[in-house]
Amino acid sequence: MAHIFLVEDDQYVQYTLSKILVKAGHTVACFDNGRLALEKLRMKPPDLVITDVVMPELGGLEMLAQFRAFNAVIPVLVVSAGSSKLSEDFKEMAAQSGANGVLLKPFDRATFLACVAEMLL
Amino acid sequence: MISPSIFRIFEFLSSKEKKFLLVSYIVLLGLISAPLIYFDFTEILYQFSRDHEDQQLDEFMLIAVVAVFLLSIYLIFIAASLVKRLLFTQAQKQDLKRSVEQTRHLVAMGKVLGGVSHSVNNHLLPMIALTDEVLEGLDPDSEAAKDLGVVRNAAIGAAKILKQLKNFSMQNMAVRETCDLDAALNHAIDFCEKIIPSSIFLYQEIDSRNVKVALSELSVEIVILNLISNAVDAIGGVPGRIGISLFPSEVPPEASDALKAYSSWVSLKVEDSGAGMSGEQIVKIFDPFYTTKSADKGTGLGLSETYGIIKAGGGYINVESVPGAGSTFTIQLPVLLYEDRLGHSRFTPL
Repeated sequence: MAHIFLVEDDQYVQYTLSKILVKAGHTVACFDNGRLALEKLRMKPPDLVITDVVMPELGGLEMLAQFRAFNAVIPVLVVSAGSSKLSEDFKEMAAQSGANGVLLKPFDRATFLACVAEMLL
Repeated sequence: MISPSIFRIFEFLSSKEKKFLLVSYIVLLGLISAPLIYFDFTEILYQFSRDHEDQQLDEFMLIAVVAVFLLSIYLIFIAASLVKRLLFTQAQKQDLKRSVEQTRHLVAMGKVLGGVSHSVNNHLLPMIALTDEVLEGLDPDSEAAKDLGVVRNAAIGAAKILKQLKNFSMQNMAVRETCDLDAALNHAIDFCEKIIPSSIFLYQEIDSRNVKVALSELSVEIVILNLISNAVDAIGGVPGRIGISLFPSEVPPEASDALKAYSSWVSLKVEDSGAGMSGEQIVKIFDPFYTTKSADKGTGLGLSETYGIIKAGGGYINVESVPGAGSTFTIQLPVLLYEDRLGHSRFTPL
């Protein structure tokens, strides 16, 4: 069981992923954008951060880069809706920002839980 | 006989100036020829020559006549060459203009589709993952489980269509995967030979070997499959033929400055003996969802996907077609002559 930050602006995706994580036995804190998540990350970091990329106010990769400035340990899984981001360049960008994994939407429940389990190892 | 340096001057003239020169040459030719014919100049010359045969003027007159005659021939040649060059340049301009307009249109569409794809992927995720979650708690043989299975599969089908759209909207992304084009082509052709009807004769002419391009083997297979599938549909149920050829080519005239740095290019041509297309159809042929077939024959994404893949590989694709006389798709790709130490291609995005 882990404490997970879910940073996602789409309400349907936020509801779906948080429900799957809770039913799998984790506790989840949801944030609508990177700025809100960053404020909490400074106070009490979780066991895992799952973040979307394109969000208002502060995007996922920008939040991640700022997070890595004061925490290089906690794993971060970047979840992207794909389209023009689907490329080796994007994966490199995510890696350079400090991500530990990239998962492209849409995906099924089993794939998501397997990725989360791998991030928590 | 005609000095090439003369035509270098014409390259700096505008279309209007070239037309003026052409007309003035023809008028000059007429002004020189008309009096010669009207006044029976040869008779006058002969008479002058007889009257002055002791003054040797007749030899000089003869030389002058020959010189004027040769000048006339020379002017006719220049006029004919100008006409030919003018027509060719105008045709090139029209092709280039059409190509630029099509590219702008497709790039704009690519950006829109990229955005749409992003939003729709977010909506598909709950349809797939949340359905999985609900299915966990249901009896697999129950009606509800079967219905939700249909929902899930429909969402996965939508995701696959979006993936094809992604390929179209990825035109300007750098591609790191490479493959030997002739090897990938042979592999794709082997597969296609098993699925095309026996009434269609598939022939190939591979003149380029060990040609490395900035596309994955899978991308090449998708392109060939899409083009051959369209060719088979265009031919219909009648006997026909599809030809695939691979040969070295020149740098495409529409290539950007960055791509002109690639000195070696290869052309892949797929031609069929099918129904052909009108000019209006050709303009729209690479638009996503554009199709002349019935809904059960396809989504209209094959050629737009092909376009996106080729553009991502730094290439160009054109189509020539005449209604009733078949179509020819020509793909030109830059050849990768060497890779950097990380094994990545030297290809840079447009």
